[in-house]
Order: sequence, then C-alpha cells, then structure tokens
Amino acid sequence: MSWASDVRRMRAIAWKDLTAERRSRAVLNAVTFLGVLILMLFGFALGPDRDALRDAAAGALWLAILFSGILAFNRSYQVELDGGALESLLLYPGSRWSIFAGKLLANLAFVFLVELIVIPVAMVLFQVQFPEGWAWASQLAVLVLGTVGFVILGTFYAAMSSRSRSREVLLPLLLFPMMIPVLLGAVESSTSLLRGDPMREAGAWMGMLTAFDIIFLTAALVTFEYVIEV
Amino acid sequence: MADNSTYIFAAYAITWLTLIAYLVHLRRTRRDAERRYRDAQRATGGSI
Amino acid sequence: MAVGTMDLTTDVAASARGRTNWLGVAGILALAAAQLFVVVTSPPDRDMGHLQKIMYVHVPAAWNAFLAYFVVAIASLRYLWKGRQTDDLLAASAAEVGALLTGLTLALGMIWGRPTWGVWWTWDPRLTSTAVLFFIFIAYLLLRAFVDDPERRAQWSAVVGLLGALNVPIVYMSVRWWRTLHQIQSSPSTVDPAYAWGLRANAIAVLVMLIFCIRHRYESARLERGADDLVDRAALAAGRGREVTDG
Repeated sequence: MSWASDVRRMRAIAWKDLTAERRSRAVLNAVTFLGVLILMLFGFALGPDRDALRDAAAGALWLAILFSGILAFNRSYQVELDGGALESLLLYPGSRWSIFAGKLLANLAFVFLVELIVIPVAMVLFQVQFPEGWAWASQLAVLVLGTVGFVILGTFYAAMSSRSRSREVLLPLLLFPMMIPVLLGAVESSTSLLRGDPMREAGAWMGMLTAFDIIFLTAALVTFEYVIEV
Repeated sequence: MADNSTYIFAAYAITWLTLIAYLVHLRRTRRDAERRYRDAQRATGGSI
Repeated sequence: MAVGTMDLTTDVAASARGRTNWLGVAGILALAAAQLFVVVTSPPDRDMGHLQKIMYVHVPAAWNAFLAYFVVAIASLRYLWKGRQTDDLLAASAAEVGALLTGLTLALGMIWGRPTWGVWWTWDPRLTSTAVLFFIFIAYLLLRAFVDDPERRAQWSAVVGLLGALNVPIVYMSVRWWRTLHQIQSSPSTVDPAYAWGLRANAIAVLVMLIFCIRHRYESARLERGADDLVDRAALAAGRGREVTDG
C-alpha cells in the first residue's frame, strides 16, 4: 500500500517541479545558453587547432554540462524554501525517498533538455563527426549514465547546500570531488568511442559508471531522510 | 646528490613546521574553549 | 542533544587531559627518534639515492591521513546510528587533523617528485587520489563552517562524510585505470623490504601523534559544545520561567 502512495508522491513532486520550471522557462533557456557559452570559452582556450579541439571535445562538453547543470540543483529546492513548503511536505506521512526521487526525476528532465541543445553545439564547435553506424547508441548510453550520476549527487547535495550559507560555492565544493569518477568515465569512453574504441575500453568505463550510479542512488535514497528531516 | 639534500631537508623541515604550527593551534583552541566554558559557567551559574 | 552529565572541569576530566598531554610528549620523542634513526642509518636506494629518505615522512603521513578519514567515516556512521553528539565532535576533530595530514602528504609527495621526475606533479594515481581526499576533507570542513544549527550540522556532516568515504576507493580505481590507459610506465613501488622497519617505526610515531592531536582537538570541542549547551539551557529555562508567570 505505502509503496504505491510513495510512487504517487514521487510523480507528484516531479510533475510539480517540472511545471514550475516550464512556467519559468527563462531558467531553462538561461542555463542552456550558459552551457553553450562555456563551450565557446573552451574553444577559445583550447583551439583553434582542429586536432586539439577534437581531442578536447568530450572533456569540454562534460565540463560545460557540469558548470551549467549545477545551477539547476539549488534552484530545485528554492520553490519549497521560499514558500516554507518544505515543512508542510515533511508533515505528510510517507517515505522521504519519494521526495528525493521526485526531485531527481525533475532535475534529470531539466539537464537532459539542456544537453539536447549543448551536445549538437559541441559537435559543431569542436568539429566532431556524428558517429557512424550504431556508435551513436553507445555515445547516448555514456551520456545517460554520466548525466544520471551527476543529477543523483547534485540533487542530493543541493538538499543541504540550498539551506546553508554560501550555497553557490558550497554546492560545487561538495559535488565536484564526487564527480571525478563520472567525469573520467564519461570523457574517456566518449573520446574512445569517437575514435572507434581501439582499445575496447569504453565498455569497461561504462560498467564503472553503471556501478557508480547504482551505488550512489542507493546511498542517496537511504540517507536522504537524514538530510531532509533536520 | 648535493642538490637533492635541499629537497630532503625541505621535506623534514616542512613536516616539523607543520607539526609545531598545529600544536600551537591546538593549544590556542584549548585555551579559548576553556575560557568560553568558564564564562558560560559564570554567566549561567552552574555546571551541567 | 545532551552532552552528558559529566562536568567538564572536574578533576576527572582534567586528569584525562593530563594523560593526553603525556601522549603528545611521547609521540614527539618517538617521532624525532624514528626520524633520526632512519636518516642516519638507512642506505641510499638503487634508483632514488638519498631521496628515498623523504619516503619516511611522506608515506606515514599518507597512511595516517587515510586512517583519519576512516575515523571520520566510522564516527559519522555511529552518529547516524546512535545520535550521540560526541561522535559528531570526534568526526570533526579527525577531519581537521586529517585535512592537515593530507595537505602535508601532498606537499611531501611534490617535494619528492620534483627531483625524481623533474616536475612538481605527474597525476600519479596515489598522489592524485590523495588530492581528491584533500578536497573531500575541505568540503566536509566547509560544510560545517556554513551550517549553524548543531544538530543539522552533525547530521549533514555525517552523511557527507560517509558518501565521501564511499567515493574514495572508486576515485582511486578510476584514476589508476585512467593513468594506465594513457601512460606506458607506472610509478615505482615505494617500499623496498629493506626499508620496511624504518617505515613502520615512523608510521607508528605519526600514529601516536595522530591520536594525540585528535583527542586534544576533541576535548576542546567538547568544552566548546559544553559552553554552548550551558547557554542554551539557561536561555530555555529563562524562557520557560517567563511562560509560567504569563500563564
């Protein structure tokens, strides 16, 4: 019984967060433009030599996603914080994990929408060919695995940083050290796949990313009540 | 090898400087903590 | 959360602090003796020559830094499990000492690396993982600095500490694999069996200092918390007194 109500709660929260964002679509646009801008900055910093750009493409893309996407996370708690709705939300009986899962889904949708624009731009700016044959599916898998890891931890840590002082600097400080395995896995497998995966390493990195996502999704779901209750 | 002795000396010097600096920090922290506790006792008129 | 009924200024507490101080004296003497011993008697390494002597400060610092983080993780777990303030203070104390040790490890690793490799930094997996650990420590300490409510601070720190601990082995494996894919050579093994005893002696001396420093910092933290609790309790009592007269 309670499982079904938790899932309903999760969907309700995800939908509420998403529709709040859709009305303020300005945020989505702003974050997307920031992502593109960061890509351009990387281009200026690392280019214009074609080979240098191609080698740096995956790295620049993921850093652009990280630096722009992180802005979504503190915001995702802003609505409740402003209205004092967090306390009311906690008054309802029900597992806290559903609050986390709802916000996680909403943030995932947000970041995926940003990536929808940022990735093609990256391919253009860094002169990367669209993968041949079915390789694009592997690249998509890498993107999904990496993004999921990013959003899980971002949503989790933002539950704390959004309610602390210096939240703008605290969230990156908490989040980015944890992102290092994701960054390595995503960039290495993407870069390798762009070259046709000569050393067959992409699969192993993707395995690591999958394990990372499972481990930290579990850890986040289990410990979220300690974070949101206090 | 004479060049390397500079590095070796630097390594040990930094180790001891760090240790001594932290010991000083520990002592200062303890003094401040004790003072705060005594002040709190005096202000509230009693121990826990 | 009660700090406990022990009066923090009784003779019992004072003598406990006295014992801690002896630990510190013993640690410093042991450290000086162990270092003197190895610097004077250890033979030069085949490849590194006398630079090998830096290992006697770098490696014990590294081991104890990771041990300090282990204490943070265990104390955090215990806090989430039992909710005792003392576990939170222990974790915070271990984090402070650990952060310092990690920074020292990095500095010593760079001092060793410069004459050996010609560069200050080579993205060596162990040193890089230590750098990440350093950032995890710093993030933990900054979180504590930016949260004022003690219970919230304790609970959040515990969660952050545990998740960080979860990530350390993952980071190490990722960085190591990343390096082997991009580099042909790997870093040399640091410990020839001939040096093992000198290394152990130094590691134990540093361990004694680690325990001393954490205990000392912890005792100060308890005093600080004791002061805050006294003030809070008095404020609470005064408030209640007012309510009684009003009602």
